[in-house]
Amino acid sequence: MNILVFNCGSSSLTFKIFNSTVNGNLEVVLSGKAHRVGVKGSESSFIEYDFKGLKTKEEKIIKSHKNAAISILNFLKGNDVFFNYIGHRFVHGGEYLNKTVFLNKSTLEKLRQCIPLAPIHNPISLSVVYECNKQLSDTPQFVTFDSAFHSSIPDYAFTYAIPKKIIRKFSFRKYGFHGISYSYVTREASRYLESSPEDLKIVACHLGTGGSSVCAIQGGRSIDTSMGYSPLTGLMMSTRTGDIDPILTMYLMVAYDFRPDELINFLNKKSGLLGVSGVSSDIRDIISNFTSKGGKRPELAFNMYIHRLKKYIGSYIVVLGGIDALVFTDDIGIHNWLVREKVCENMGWCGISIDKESNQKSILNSISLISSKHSEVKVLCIPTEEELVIAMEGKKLIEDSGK
Amino acid sequence: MNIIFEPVKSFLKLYKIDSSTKSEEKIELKPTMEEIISERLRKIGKVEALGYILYHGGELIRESISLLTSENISKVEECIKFSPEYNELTFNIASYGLSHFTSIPHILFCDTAFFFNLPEEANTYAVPYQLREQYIRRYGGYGICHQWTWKQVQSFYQESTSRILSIYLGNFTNITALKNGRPVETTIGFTPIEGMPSSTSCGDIDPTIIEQLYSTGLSFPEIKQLLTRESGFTGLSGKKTELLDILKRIDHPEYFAVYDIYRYNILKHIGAFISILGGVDTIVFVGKNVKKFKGLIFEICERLKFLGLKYKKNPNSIAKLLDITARKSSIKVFCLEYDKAEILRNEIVDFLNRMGG
Repeated sequence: MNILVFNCGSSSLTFKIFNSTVNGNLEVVLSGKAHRVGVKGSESSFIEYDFKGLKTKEEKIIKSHKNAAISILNFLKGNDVFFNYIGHRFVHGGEYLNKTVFLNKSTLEKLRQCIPLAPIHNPISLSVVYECNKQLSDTPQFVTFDSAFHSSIPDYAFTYAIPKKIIRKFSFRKYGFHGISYSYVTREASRYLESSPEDLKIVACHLGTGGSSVCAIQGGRSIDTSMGYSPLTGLMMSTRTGDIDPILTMYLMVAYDFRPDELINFLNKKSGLLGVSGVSSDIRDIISNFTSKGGKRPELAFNMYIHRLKKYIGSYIVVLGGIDALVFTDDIGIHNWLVREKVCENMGWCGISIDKESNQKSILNSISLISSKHSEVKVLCIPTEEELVIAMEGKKLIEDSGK
Repeated sequence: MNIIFEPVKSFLKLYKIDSSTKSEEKIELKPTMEEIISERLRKIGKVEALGYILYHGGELIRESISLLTSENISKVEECIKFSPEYNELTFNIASYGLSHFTSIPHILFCDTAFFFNLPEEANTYAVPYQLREQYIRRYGGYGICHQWTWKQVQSFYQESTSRILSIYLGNFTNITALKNGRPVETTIGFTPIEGMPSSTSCGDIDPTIIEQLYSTGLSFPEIKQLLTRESGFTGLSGKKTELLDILKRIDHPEYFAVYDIYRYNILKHIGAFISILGGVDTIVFVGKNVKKFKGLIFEICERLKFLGLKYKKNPNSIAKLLDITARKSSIKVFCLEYDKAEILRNEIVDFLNRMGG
């Protein structure tokens, strides 16, 4: 049995095909990623493929996730790659969808209703779902939800201080995102540290090229996370504002004559690193503009990114009452040593200290320990494997349903 | 006698202060207010100075205490837009005072000025930078209170302590992190709604909620009313609720749920600010009748034990600045009685002396 997994990031599309072997393992048959999907910037977009030991890179304009999916499906067809199921990551399943499900008329309708909950992610995931439906209507598809891992967040942490009748009517609450990634790094961290997840207090930072969040994990379960009802809040992100005074957003609507949907678009797509730096939504571009004529804005954007990340890490350490492991994951978390170095500066108060050399030399495709020898807290870089988690969830669903 | 005016939700507060006495009066907001004020002032007799509290000074008022003149009052007028409800009242009273009492000094207290130099990474919102240039930033609030906290702690030690958390407990709970006397982070943002939930306002929420409420047909003023006047402790409990109501009825599960949210939010901000300070030397809990918050303060201290904080439940002192630090604690903890009239007295006397000298 082969499972194709699509994982939409806000500016990327990762895909993998897993083969379920006789002994129950999932082995990667093919993998790849479309980069800079829909991004305007200095570098061009491209799709990487890793198939039968051969790595290829196709440079092309990728306007949307749908376009990326078309190119990828064409590649699979052209190379006679076979798969029986397609799995998708869906960011926000709202209140009704909190476990992996097969796609059918009724679940698809529920997915449609969840669009406003994640206005960037849900529509792009849905566009890939539709494309697969169009081309491969006989191949069963399933969906796994990011919000599921956070269902353990206690009520005092997920409740907004707004009228309770409004909360009940609209199901306003913190849902949280990146749950698939957090469940993976939690398991990997405890395996690496040879401890049971039950005994660990972990603060994990999922720092993606699009969205980023932080999660407080106790006993293997999420107890708080920085994203909220939608993925707009929390950390400063590539184009998302993160935390902001709610009344300020209303002030902007009046002052700049925004409609509510324009405001949400403004806060989701024109803000964050892009808005402050004026250079790019990509933190690498921002760092490379420190010394050039970019003025002070790129450096300010970077400092704000670090400042807000430090705030959340501190919050969650106090909420957890201590910390055993600090985990960095996803693109920026794994690839950007400068972000990690700056975040871990002056963190002696809670026992975090990193080894600058190991931090700069961290390995990209497996777990690396970057804390210094005397650090009380283990600091780890763990490349996330969301696709593997999605495939495992799907495999379980397939086996349970006997399909 | 010095008289200071402070705009409050539905009335004007008048502080009467001299070197030995201090008292407060309420004046209702009505068209004849000016006549009432002039009559009260006449009764007092010799007024040495008039003071006015401005809640929001935008980027225009950069000093916590300054001399107000007919030349610079236009700045106060320009600030009305930042907090129309309160600032307009301050402006009106100050204009009246300036034109009717021409031979005495007029003093402006500004509650945001202390935060004017908040570091850029803390005062900037992650929105397009053009907005920062149009004065969209974090302004903070309760500056007079947090500045005073710092001074109290310094005079207690007779030496400097560098990293302080000043936690104001009350209906408008807010927290400021100070390093060497300067604020480096604070919970209040562009408006006092950001940060902690209050008796009627929501604190930090996801702005997507605002858009969702619009799409259900609520209007802009209705949503603003909902988030600023019907949310917070009142919204969560379903009836008009102040912080002290919650503390009193903590045994009721309904109120405990609100308390739990409130306490959790304080803890989160404490952690965030300790991280920005790179550790903390002193934590000060400030509040009116701070004793009433004893239970809450001890619970917060309990949760910070992992940082080496040790506290005393029965300190043998009734000082205004009460040291509850236990032996061998790595962090000092104080409870500080908040007395606004006292703060204003010290500030105004100090200011007039400086002016005279």
